[in-house]
Amino acid sequence: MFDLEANARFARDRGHNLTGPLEHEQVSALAAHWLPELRFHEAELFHPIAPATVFDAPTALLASLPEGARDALRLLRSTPTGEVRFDPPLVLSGAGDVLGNGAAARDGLAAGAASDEAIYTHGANLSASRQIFGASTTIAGVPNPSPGDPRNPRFRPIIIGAELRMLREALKHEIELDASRENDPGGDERDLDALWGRFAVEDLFFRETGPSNLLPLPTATKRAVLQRMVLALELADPQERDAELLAARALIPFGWELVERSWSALRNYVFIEYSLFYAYNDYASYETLANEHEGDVEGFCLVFERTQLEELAAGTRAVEDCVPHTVMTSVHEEANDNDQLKRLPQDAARARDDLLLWVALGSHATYLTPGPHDVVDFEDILTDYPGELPGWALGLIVLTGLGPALALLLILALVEHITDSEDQTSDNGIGTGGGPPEAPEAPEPGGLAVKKALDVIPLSNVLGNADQNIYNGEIARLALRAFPGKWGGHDSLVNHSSPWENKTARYFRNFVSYGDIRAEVIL
Amino acid sequence: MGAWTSAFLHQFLDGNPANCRALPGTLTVVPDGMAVVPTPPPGERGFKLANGHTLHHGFDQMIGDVIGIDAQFQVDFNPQDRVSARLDLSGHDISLLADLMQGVARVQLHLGSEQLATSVEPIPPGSPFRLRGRWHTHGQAHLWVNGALVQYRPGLVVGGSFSVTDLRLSGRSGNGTTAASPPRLRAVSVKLLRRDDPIGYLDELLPIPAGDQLTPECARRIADRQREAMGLIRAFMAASVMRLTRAWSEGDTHEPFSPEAVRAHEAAVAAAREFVLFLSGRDDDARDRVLDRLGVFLGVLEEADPQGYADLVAALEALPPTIDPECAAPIDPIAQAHAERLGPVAALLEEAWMKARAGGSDV
Repeated sequence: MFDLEANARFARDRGHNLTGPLEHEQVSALAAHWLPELRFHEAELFHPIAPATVFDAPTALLASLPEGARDALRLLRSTPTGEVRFDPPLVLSGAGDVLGNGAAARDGLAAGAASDEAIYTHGANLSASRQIFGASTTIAGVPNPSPGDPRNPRFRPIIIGAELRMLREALKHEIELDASRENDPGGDERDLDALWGRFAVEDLFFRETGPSNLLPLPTATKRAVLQRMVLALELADPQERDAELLAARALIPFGWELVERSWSALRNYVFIEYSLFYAYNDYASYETLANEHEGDVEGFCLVFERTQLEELAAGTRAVEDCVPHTVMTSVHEEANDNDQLKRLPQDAARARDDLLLWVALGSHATYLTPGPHDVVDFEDILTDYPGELPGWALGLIVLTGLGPALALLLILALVEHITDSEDQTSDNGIGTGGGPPEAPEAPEPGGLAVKKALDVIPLSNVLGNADQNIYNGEIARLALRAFPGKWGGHDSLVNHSSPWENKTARYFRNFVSYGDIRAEVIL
Repeated sequence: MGAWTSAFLHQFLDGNPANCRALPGTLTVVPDGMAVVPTPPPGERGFKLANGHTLHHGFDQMIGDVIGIDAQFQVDFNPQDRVSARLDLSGHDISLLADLMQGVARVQLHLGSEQLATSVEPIPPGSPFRLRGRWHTHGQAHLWVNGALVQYRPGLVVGGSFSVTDLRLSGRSGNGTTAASPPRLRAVSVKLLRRDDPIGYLDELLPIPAGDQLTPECARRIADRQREAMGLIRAFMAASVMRLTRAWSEGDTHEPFSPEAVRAHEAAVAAAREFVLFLSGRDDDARDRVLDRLGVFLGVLEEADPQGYADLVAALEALPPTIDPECAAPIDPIAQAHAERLGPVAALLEEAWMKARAGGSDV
């Protein structure tokens, strides 16, 4: 089970602080000032919302319906006492027990109630999601969208989440978290919450120096070296720091070396990860072979130079002078290697103009350019399938014989004429405008512009304040973001819902692979 | 995603020439090298088309047995520019070329010793120019400009395949080119289809490990028989393409694709998509749609060439069993263990073959 209070105590006891010297207010100002503009497709049915909305909206809608119409939205479950219709949404245990439902669904997130196998659901189907969360008309009030008259978001403002992670601190947190769970007999029983971890990038930092080494470099050794190097950077005295860094490097066994590029990236850069939370991904409504699933967390990332943010923290640099270094998007699965990256102009005004992203219809992948995007796949093909029939085809042939095998070959000749799936982005839908969110009391901008709100998760530790930790004392507020279970009820090979997982490692791998990283002498 | 795989995608998003996605290989840029320059303004991003400027990506491993190529690029240029842009694969084995001058575009797709070539006008001033070329081993080759088909040829390099070793971008700009904003390549994409990619694509949907039960000799024998059968099918498909489609260039009064060809293509793609949906368990009703669409597709082919179709069925049925009994023995326990999952697929394929034997009709 995940226990937010216990995880918070762990963080506080170890002084974990993912925002380095930056206070939460500074993080919020930075994330707001440099917030990119988002443009949505005019036909987009689901727009970014707050996690609380997936709990509140079903309850509110149900309450607004006459009793006779409510059963269609209720969710049928088998219980020891028989079939029961529950008010949506539900929080289910991994075993399928109802931990909370309807107006009390959040009880399912209470301490010790849910594990990372828990599931949130409001029905796991497009019809229910559309009824509860989908846009019902266009801006002009008609049923069907068209370029220039996009669907009108059901919930306004558009909600964008943001989390700043200093990369050194994130790795330190990751390593110490893992170590604590290994050393603590009860640690394994305590699930991670969704805020934590998932920055296991140690493999990026080491490479073999010669012919294939007989002795692999254990993960534990990699982590020990990196932990010592990260801790060395916390030493105030430069000579002590450099000595400690050299001592850490000396732990690297013969035949291996540190990858300079990865270390430079970790040492010198900071991520602001922006997240877009959707009630439903209905990509399959637009592409035949696409997937769909309840719950969808997408986003993008801004990279900053650490020195600039340290100056911001010290009060010697203004927010508007902390120009983001790079912007990265998130496109479908990381393994497809389709995430985009762009080094931003160094001039603040030009960087501001370049902070423009497009959100794909249905899939909600983020892109740096408008128009159609082939959903391509750069997975390694070069070692696959040298003329072999797949296992299931062999099994079929054994079961059935020649005829069906020939039918299969006939279909294979047709499969290659399936054109690739596409993501569609557009300049003809709603847009959020760039820069800080509007004041809550400000009127809607009008036209295709919609208000946005930024929810910056507090991950800061104000030095010397023992009550400030990565949860910043806001346990109740963070319970939703920290929920480690799945944010939807789809569970098939193709249509599957997922937990809200940090993309820190994903963005880091992309940045190390393609980013413009300042090289330096390794110490 | 489908059976085709991306080999190269560059969108020139910033000043880093290595900020692209490609199959493993080595990127070389001449004359500026791999230096990362500050991100230029949007109008100055891209690969400069000028004498002596090349971008080359050598793949670490040769991509062999390529039976489909889909390449495209976008050129940003000023109306008064004279620009040439080319994308070459494996030296000059495969080339996609565009010559732009005074509102006219001459575009070509070279495939070995064969080619498509046509002229397109007018090219709207101030708008990007996108050229795409696609070839498939059934002999179909297409050229599109800004999304519109401008030329089609059947019968090009029928049954052929290529090996792709590298990719090169280059170009020239001639008199009148504006030095302040030289023409640039703004986006380049190359996708490839290898002969066995459709198998791999389907294998992902129903992963059942069995191939490692085969001896190398059995694996070779099965692969050979599979290829022999596919060879017969492909030859008939290529012949059907010649029967049902005609060479066409923009401005011709006839259509490139007969109504039967359109109907067959739509039914074929639909049948394949429905099969994917069925195999992945996403749609229980897909089974009937597979058979329905397959029936339409086969019916068109049979009607276009009844004797050829009958000969194909006879030739396929005369092939030896795909798996010899001694090779099947180690597979049998695995097949039985997965019989529940494989049973519906087997039943569908049985019925599909009966429909194929009947020329697409219901049996």
